[in-house]
Amino acid sequence: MSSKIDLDNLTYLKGVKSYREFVEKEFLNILESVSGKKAIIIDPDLVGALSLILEIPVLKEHNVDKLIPLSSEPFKTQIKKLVFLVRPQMSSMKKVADQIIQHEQNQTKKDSVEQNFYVFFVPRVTIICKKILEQLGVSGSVIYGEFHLDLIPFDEDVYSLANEKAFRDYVLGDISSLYYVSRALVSIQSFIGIIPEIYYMGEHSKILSEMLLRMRQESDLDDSLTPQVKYLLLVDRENDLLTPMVTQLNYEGMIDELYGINHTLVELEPSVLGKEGKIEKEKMVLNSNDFLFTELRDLNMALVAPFLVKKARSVSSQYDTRKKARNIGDLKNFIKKLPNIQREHASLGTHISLTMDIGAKTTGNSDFLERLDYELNLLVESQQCDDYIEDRIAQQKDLISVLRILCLQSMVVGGLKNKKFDFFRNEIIQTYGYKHIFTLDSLEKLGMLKKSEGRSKRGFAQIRKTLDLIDENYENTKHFSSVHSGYAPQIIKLVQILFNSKQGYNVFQDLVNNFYTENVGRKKQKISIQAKEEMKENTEKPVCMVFFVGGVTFAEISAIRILNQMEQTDVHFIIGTTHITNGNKIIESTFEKVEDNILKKKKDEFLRNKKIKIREKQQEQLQKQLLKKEKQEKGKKKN
Amino acid sequence: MENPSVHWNQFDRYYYQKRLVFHMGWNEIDLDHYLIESAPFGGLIALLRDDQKIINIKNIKTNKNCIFIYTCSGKLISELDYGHKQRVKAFGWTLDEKLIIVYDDCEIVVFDIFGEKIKTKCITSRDSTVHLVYKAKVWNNGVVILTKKNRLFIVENLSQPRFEEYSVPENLGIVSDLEILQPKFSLTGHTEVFVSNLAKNLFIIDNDQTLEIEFQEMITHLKVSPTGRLLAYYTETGNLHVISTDFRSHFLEFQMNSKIKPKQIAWCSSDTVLLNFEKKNTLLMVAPSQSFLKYEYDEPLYLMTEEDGIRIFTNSCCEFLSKVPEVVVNIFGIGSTSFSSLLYDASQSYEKESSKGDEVIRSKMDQLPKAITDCITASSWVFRRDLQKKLLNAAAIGKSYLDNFVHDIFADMCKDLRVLNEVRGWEIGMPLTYRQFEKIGIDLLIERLINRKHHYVALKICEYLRIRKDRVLVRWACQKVKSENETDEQILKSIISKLGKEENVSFASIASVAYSESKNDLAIKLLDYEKSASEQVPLLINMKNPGLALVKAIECANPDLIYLVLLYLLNNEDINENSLFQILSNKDMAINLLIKYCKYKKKDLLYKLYFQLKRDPKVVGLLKITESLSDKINLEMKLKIRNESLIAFGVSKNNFLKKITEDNIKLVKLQQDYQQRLELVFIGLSINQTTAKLLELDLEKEAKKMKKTFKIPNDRYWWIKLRALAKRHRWKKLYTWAKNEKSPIGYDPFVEICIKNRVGNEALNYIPLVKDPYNQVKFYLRLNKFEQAANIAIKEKNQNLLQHVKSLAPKNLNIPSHI
Repeated sequence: MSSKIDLDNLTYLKGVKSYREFVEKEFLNILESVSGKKAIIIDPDLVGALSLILEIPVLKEHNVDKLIPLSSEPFKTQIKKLVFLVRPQMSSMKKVADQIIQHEQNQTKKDSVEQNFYVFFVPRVTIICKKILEQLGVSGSVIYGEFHLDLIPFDEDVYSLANEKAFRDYVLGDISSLYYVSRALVSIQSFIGIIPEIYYMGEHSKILSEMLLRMRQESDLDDSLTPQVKYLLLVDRENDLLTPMVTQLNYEGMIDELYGINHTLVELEPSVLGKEGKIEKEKMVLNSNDFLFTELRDLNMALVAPFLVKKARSVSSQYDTRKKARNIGDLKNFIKKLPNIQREHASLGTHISLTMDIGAKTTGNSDFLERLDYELNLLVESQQCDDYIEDRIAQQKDLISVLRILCLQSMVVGGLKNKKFDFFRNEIIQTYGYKHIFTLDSLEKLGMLKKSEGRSKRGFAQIRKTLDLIDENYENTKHFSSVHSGYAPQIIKLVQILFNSKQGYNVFQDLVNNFYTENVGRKKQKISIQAKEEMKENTEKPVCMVFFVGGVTFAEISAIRILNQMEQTDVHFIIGTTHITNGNKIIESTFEKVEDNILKKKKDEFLRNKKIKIREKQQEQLQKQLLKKEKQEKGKKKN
Repeated sequence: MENPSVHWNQFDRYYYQKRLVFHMGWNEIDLDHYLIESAPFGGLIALLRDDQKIINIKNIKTNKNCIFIYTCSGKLISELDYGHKQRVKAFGWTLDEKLIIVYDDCEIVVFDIFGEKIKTKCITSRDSTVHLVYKAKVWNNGVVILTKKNRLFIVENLSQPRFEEYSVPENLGIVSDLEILQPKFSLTGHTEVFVSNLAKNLFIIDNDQTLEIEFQEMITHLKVSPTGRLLAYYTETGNLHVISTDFRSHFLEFQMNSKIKPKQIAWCSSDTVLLNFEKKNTLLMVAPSQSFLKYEYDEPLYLMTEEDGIRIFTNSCCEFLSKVPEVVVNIFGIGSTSFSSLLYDASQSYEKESSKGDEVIRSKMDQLPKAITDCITASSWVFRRDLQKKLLNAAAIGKSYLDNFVHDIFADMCKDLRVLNEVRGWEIGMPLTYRQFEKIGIDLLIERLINRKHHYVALKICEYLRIRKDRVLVRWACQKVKSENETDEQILKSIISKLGKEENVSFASIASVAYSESKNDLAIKLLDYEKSASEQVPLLINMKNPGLALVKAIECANPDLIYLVLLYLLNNEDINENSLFQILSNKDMAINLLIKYCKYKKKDLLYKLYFQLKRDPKVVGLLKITESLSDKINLEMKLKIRNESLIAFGVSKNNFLKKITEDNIKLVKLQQDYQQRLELVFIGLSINQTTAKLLELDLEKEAKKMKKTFKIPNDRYWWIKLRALAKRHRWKKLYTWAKNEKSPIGYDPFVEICIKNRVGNEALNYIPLVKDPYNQVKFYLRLNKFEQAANIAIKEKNQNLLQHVKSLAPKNLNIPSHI
């Protein structure tokens, strides 16, 4: 089951390692370039990313006194050098400008410390952001720089740009982030070699593939490096928005659904891990350094508990070897293994607690079970669940979960009937508020919630049949459909077909053409003859990076890992993505944020509510008094 | 041919050689009248008339405010006009031979050697007072300035013109000398400044601290060694000291017992100090062992420290004084018995066709490889071509005895020496030693040649060494473009004929020069040859051709470039909205980016964009609604804007949006009314929330009106009312309602909500109304009413259910086990 077997020896890891070292070194160089004590004001977006490339104590060693999340709130510091580390987003620029201007004003007030400002953009400075800073009154005394953190290694086999806004940008029709994806893919090729074969499906992927080729010509990429990754498959999230709507049922996906995983970090209430006394949330890193998690992450939830039981037995039997120890040698052996056993033991404890909490929230929760039931009925038999959804709305359940199942239904049946479409939309607006007309509009644009256009040959039912997406026997066959308890993620199925010696590109192309998009194709990148020779000599399984433009779910990542272990695959897959996503995030990204200044609004709201409450109380009292009077009067009348 | 060793002086265990490099080509220059700075690595020298010296008028070459720039061979490169207004306080060279001038008002200007301003930087502090320079120092690419008010400014790198101010101790007083330790030598990686004052103190100042050392006497001169390890200082009573720059060790104290101040202190190699006592016509050389050597001169001197020796300029010649390396001593030293010396002699005898050499070489084959490399190394040190040839010949003969000698060192040396001999000639006049050449690198050498307009030599060197020559060609072309006696056609033709087939040539930079020379047509034609869009776009903007620029930017899909064009379009007064839309039409990528920007910065343009370019009334309507949701406008305005959006939705035939918005306008009006009547906030609530709130306030009639107006389905209305009543704990009212009307949502929710609010007794009212007996049992069980639960099971004749109930019930309850 463990995916560790051959992973350590794969050559692509070398290139990736040197990339990781390069990034770390670049960041330390940035710290060195600003001498003396400094404070880093960091885009909250980047904290997680940063923690993936270096340990926080390293910052202290390089004279970083403070790490402050970027906001418009003023703060005071005596530190002379303020280093901003930000994404080139227009919305962040206001905050950067606010901070710089506040500090500059403080300077002129008294004869206080003269501060220097450095703004480092991650991964690249953009003209527009500089311009906005300028317009906001940031003077020329600021020093700009770049930190080229493009692809962030989340794990040995997962690389992400961690650009959470990527999908929302596409929703709004802004594809400029593709340019940065392309830059990232070009720059990683200087470590892992030129990727000779590129496949793409989807409009954005097509544009991206063209950009990649052009950019390679403009940059001085070394083509003598032996290609460590042979294929790059670019896929658009927009081609399959259905899968993310389905509840993820593998261990890691489930954790993401319930608690949210951010840059491999999950924050848990202390009670979840059985630590009652604490108040602060427990942070837990989920990656392949935790061997037990590596074995668990791809498992279907139903299999997790039995697996843990088995594991617990094996750990306790390992402890038992001490009792059986007959001589000093045995004991020595045991002691040698002890730290490992203990670590495993601790990890086991954590995952058992977590699994129990998940159990309580899922199998122990009729709401969850009911929902899962409707979901599976939709997926397997296209059985609609209007009443259920209507009920959920009437009960004013969480809008995201309502939209998730509604969109899933719409996509499965190829759009809602006219009347139904209007009915649900009206219900949603009346219940959740007028501002959601933007949400509905975006969902319609994305094709997630739409009017049916009569029977279509390209509908989900056809795809389900042709691609054979449903496998009710998933538990026994170790098939990747287990990540959704029997429903195989479509893109992974297509990946399997593309790299299957029996089917291959032509079958793949036909399928994509028929069911998804006319934008499908392949391109070759020239490599040097020497590199070609070296590649031929390599006897390892060729590596393919499947790159998801617009996000990938944990369930899909797990599906790819399971695919790697299935017998008939001749290629080893790794994953690249703009960011890791899930159904909730996708739905949420369609919400229009009406107010810029959320903080102020909240404050106002709070004050207003307070006033209202007081008034309401007064009102109530008034009514009570009125009622009393009425009663008294009635009483009088009776009397 | 004389043996080179005759020119050596033995001094302090070593041999030194002072060799004549050039007879100066200049006429009637008296170094005494000038302030002088030379670029390191055999670079140019700049002469500025010293206005503190009285000169015989007939010796003045020109009245202009100019700096004369000469090669080391005394060939005039240019008379650089540095402007009339200000006084020059200091000047110096960058490694690629650009002249940095510091004026007395803290302005720093970088000139190329033909007098073109490349960069200007003025140091002003936040309070924008003008500072006056007291002392300044220039090095490589940096400048340090001490103002008359004792403020200290550092520019470490002029290519990123940003300055730092170091805080200066208050007791600094009047400064006698100032020296810097370059960042590459300092422990902190930042420039350290050494300042001595009249109060006998020495301060070491860096970016965050100051160290103060008290001395017995006043320091008049400070000089850091070329490796940055040592500091020489000279005191008012004539003592020379050498200490380490970290101030831990003291290496030398040398007493002159003379009050005459040296004009210059300099280093020769990293351990020997030279004192220029011009008034005594003496150049004194002091070694670490305190031994010294005097050179007599009858002319003024200027000393230029190099990494491996020192250049000495007089009115008549340029000399180079340096230590003779051991390999050279071993070969040419009188009576040397080293094998390299024997190899050299043997090769000489070969020349005379004598076979004696053969025996000598064969006698010590094991030492041969080292002897060969020694000869090669020695050839790199000598300047005389005949000796170079002989040494290389000796190496070649030695090499022929070996099968496996690595040929590369020999071949590379031959090539390098050819290049060096070329630039060492009088014409170019750059007396680079091999070691300096290694340090400066071929790139910088080429750059210097280009700067001096020796394009042809630079190109030939590139071709000879097989390195990229595009830079030379481009710079040549840039020069060519400026040519005034040729037509555009001729220029283009000659550039394309030379550069057309080359790779990596930046035509954009050539075009940019053409544009700055107001040759627009030529610029556009040149730009056509440019391959990279990121080079084309900025230039096209500069050339006021934004339309073409936008096309190119979109071609490469680089959002940054697109924004560059868009910002130009928005900020240019010559471009009105109509021409903006014309340029943008059909360019979706650019339009979407502009929309994104407008949402942040230019909301007024948004509608026009959508109307004019997107032609999508629905989006316009939605946009209006976004605007109407903003907190910044009042209610009246909001309604007005929403009404406007209705028109847009009407045009787009989107009935749904139209209806929803109509509903919303109705809702807001109702809310407005309630708000006034009840003095409670309603606006911002959804229809559900509004209805709920009305119900919570017992305003049943109003709530019904909401239901009717907005056609709230009965189910949902019941849910709303149920929750509203529960929230206010109106359990009685809830019960009456449930009894009087039939619930369309069943009674399960009633039970649930009571349980949730912990009013179990209330819940019991509704359980009998629940349809599904199984659910009834479930509810009873949750409320611990086991008997009732059992009754239901019995009524339903469900043995399993009964069993289940019994298993959960406490033992003391008498639950029947069978039906």
